[in-house]
Amino acid sequence: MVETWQIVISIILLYIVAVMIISYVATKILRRTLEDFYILSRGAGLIVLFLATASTYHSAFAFLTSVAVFSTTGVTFWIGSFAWTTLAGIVAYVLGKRIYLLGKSRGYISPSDLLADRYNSELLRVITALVWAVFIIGYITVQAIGLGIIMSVGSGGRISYEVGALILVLVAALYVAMGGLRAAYWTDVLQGIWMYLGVWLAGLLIAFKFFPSISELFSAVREVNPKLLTLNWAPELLAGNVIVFGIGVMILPHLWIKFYAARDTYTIKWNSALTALYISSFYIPAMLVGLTAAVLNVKGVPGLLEPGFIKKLTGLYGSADAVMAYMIYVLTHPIIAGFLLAGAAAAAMSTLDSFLGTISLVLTRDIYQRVNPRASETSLVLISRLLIILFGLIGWVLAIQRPGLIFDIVAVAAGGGLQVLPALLQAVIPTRIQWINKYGAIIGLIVGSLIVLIFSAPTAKYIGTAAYAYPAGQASLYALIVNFIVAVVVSQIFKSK
Amino acid sequence: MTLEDELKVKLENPLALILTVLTIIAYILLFAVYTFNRPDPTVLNMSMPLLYALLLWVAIAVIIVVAAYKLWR
Repeated sequence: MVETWQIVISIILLYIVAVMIISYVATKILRRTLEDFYILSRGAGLIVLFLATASTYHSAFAFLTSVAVFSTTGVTFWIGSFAWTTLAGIVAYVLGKRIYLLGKSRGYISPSDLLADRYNSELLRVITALVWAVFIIGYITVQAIGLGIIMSVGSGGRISYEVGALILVLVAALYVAMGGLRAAYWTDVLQGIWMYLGVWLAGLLIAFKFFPSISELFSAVREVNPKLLTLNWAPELLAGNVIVFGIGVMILPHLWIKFYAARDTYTIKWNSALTALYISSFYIPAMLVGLTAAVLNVKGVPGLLEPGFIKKLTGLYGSADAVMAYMIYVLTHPIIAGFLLAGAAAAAMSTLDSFLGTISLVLTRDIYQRVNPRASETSLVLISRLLIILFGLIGWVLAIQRPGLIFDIVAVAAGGGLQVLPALLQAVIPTRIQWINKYGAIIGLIVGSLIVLIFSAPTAKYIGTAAYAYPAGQASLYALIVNFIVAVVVSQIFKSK
Repeated sequence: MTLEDELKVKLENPLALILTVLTIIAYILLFAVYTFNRPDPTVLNMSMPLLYALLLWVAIAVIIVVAAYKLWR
């Protein structure tokens, strides 16, 4: 008799095969130039750009950690997430359109091209590339964590977290290395549809399996822990998270280069609006699963879920991130579980592929090409491919250390990315007075990034500053404020000299 | 129109001004949750903070769609 885990893993493998076929086709029509490898020769239409943007924005963070946070902090996550996801859509238009116009006009490929050109500073290019490389590693790591959880849970523990993460990280690294971000854009279309259908199906199936109506779900939540129905973040943490996930994520290089890839401004504007609707509505079914988990964690389900299962999962995986995957595996039909867990894998892989592609772009274009300006396009693509594999493996090595909750790690990564904002604003929005010049942009970026690393709880514990640490969203907001002040003050001082 | 002109922020259009102000107000109103942050049941047994956040989400989504139709180009 076929067991549950065999069905689930077979469906996940089918999904992987589908992704590899798509990327193979993308490889066949790839022209070996950096512009085609990374930004689709600036020809992405609305459907491709929208699904690539939305599925890249949503990662293991959306499919796994959102449910974990809903199950432990309740509706707080929705109150924050509806604000940051809609803000992300607005940012995609306000900044994205300007990035697109400049990119098309000046032929930018990497995000640092824009900053280096607008500030006339190669040093700013290198510093920005290095800052991104540091923080992006965190983002790559969390996707590997998510993939390890999915394979481990989906196999009923027969495939270890470490091996599961390695398999899927290598799959993503290989298809990006073969077909560049063209392959990632194409596979994102499949992944974007799959994960959205998956999260809604999971939300409706799991919530209505135990509660005949939404009303009864909320009633049960109130009964087990009424605090889950209130906002449990301090105002400064709420503000920090909204800014970090609304603006910080949108200006990370993996989404930034999607603005370059757009075909025209019509694509940019509808991409922004549709992305806001997609990524915000994604959290409604996640909330249903998370709140159901909170209730079942107290009451249990005889024969399926024992009370306190969230704590047990936290002990196994180092965080509560496995709640969604575990509930899917235990509570739904094996075929549906396979489909849904493949959707979860799609969420993680669609972000992982973009990050792997982008970090190789940043390091190839902004650092290697500066060192070796005569390198041919073919050799640049080869270096890019090697970097993709290397960073995939680095992310895997960090993931197997079980560094903690995906939410916290992403907040640090996005908080670091957010520190580019002062320089970006001055670069893309002309003002009568130049508030920030290249000196201010560089010093502000360095100071802001260091503050994020030193004062964010997830990284402070490694640096030895845990006693002074804040939640990452809050620390990143403070870092941004200091960054703005430093950037403006330094710019004015150096200007006067 | 030059590229630098296209990059400038323009609010001469009354609709642009209105939608910008409404958007800023909507995000400030997010913090009003703290004034009624209680789990008491309302519509569909939802708490007031959740119901309020859902309504605010709909309002912002409408603003974004209207802006995309009428304003953004």
